[in-house]
Amino acid sequence: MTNLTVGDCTVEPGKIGFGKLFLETLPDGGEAFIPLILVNGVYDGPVLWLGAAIHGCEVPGIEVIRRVTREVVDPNTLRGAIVGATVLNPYALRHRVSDAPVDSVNLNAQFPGDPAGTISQRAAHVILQEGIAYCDYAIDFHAATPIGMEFMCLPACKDPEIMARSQEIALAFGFPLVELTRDMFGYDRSLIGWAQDSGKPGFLCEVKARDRYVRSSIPHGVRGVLNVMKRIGMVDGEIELQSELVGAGGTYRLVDFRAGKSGLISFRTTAGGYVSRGDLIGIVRDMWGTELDEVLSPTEGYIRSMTDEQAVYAGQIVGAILEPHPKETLWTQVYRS
Amino acid sequence: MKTTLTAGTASAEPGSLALGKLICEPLADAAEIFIALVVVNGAHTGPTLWIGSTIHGREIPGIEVCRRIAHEIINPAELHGAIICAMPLNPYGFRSQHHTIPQDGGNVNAQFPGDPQGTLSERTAYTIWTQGIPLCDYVIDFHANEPDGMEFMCATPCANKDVQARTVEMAEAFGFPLAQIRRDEWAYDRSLVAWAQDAGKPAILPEPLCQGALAEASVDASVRGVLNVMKWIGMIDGQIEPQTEIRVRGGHFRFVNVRTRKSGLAEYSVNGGDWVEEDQPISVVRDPWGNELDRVLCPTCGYVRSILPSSIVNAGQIIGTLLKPHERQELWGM
Repeated sequence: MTNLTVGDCTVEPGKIGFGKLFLETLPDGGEAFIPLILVNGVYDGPVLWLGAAIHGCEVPGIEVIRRVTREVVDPNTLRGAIVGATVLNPYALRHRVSDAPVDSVNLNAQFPGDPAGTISQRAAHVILQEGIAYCDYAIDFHAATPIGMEFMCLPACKDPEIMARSQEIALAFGFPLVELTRDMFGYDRSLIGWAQDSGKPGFLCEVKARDRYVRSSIPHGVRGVLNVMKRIGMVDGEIELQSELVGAGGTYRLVDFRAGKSGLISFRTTAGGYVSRGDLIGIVRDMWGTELDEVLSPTEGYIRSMTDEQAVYAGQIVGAILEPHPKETLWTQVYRS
Repeated sequence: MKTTLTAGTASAEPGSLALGKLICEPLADAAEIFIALVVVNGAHTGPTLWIGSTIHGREIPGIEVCRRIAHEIINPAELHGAIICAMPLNPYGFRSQHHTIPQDGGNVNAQFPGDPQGTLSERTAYTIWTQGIPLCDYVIDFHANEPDGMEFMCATPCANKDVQARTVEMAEAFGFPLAQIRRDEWAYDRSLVAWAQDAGKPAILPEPLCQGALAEASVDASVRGVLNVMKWIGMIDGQIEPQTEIRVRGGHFRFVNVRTRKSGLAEYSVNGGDWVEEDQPISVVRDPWGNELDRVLCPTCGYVRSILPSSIVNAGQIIGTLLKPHERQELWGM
């Protein structure tokens, strides 16, 4: 192994190092940067990117990265290296919001970025050119909602080999795995979409919950990362099943459900519960207590999430279901439309 | 002899239930803004109980408590007195999921008695104060605690010792742990419950769990609490039921805040309702590289009332609040 340099940080084999990936100078003269934790193994092997908080209010991945890099992995036995980028969107994290308030765009829909664009577009450019470029695999940590399940998303990819390897490492991670096409949620311009197109298998992982570390969920994220590292040969050991998680190891499509009327919704199901088509999920009532709408399950599957703001508007997506499908029937289309 | 009870646009004959509105100021788009009213007028004479909810726009559990009480539990033909349910008391904040009124940033619960010529928050307080509260003898103002917190309630001292004593007894009947808030804390001298007390109406402020979401067990406990109050003031028959299913049952407390000294990412090690000892760690704050910056210790013993629902914290920020136990006599002089 040789020295590993990312941003202003250079780490010798068998060492851990800390540094910064410079983004921009701010109007008050301060610097915006992405904090880096680099672990350079003694032995040759792949380089794994662990990124968190690309949506600034989604923080649990920061703690997963800390535990993996500073408590679990020993650089003296590691094959390859880890690049931990803990706050990909510092502009948003400092305000506890998803997107940078200055340009109000979703950083995870700006890739490959633009060095002459807005601060989020510039950040995407730096992340891709000065971070992802040094890596062979990418895991992008997001955060599930408080009333929801842990899960992963994998966008479809044009390269069948990268697609297969992305599936392989995601299934090793062990959370329920959701199919996305590139035309969903701006995924054609996502970090993982561009990593895949650059030949780097990757997926997106949702640990609980939003801007709060949930003590029971962080260890699942750590176990998942170690499973991926075992799969790609960075550490030894057997892959550990995430057997305490609902739906673990399965593959799914995402199906939203909506409120038909504005009012206050009372749910009749719980996150992770299994519902059949037509089951009652919730009742919407007006302020006088009159029932306005019954929200019925549009399909069969696990309740992935339910809104934690139960004052809802007509047509609002108030939750989502993970609809089970065999792996072979998913990721067959890069674009659905 | 019972008479028709009119609140806002709702008029309920004795032994009946009526729905209506308390009209508030419209917004710039001219849409009607109002506080929904459910008036239950009992067939028998007795006191009138105000049950308000959501004066902070994201604190919604009281809405469901009102629905169950008014529509599912209370029979107007058997009720002594009347109930006026009013929700959301901050319709501007409720529709945009804000604590305050977004248009002026005002906390309605710090604007009483309000001002008919003032800002939206002052006008809303004035509407509640002049068109709702005067109709009532007792006041329950439902708020909501953080999801990872514990059920409790607040009351504030009052110059009228008889009203203060009845407020404390009413709170004890409700059955949640009672925290004393002084008038100089959090602008409580301009709160709804303080002004209600000063007008001779015993008043409490319960905080079931969850803000933008409902927690079923907490709603159940709140319904039980309201029914206990109604039994205590003779509106319905029955024995007061103990609150056996909440984490901390009764008692008298004062708030003690816990702050972080550093900005960073907080990992919390306690839950709402936990008993903690003085100097017990409740959080470690780290920088984004994983270096420990601060270990936050409890400044006193007590129950964890709430933990900040975010791990992103700033230096000096209150990241949790404890309920420190006190004797009833010590706090309330009774």
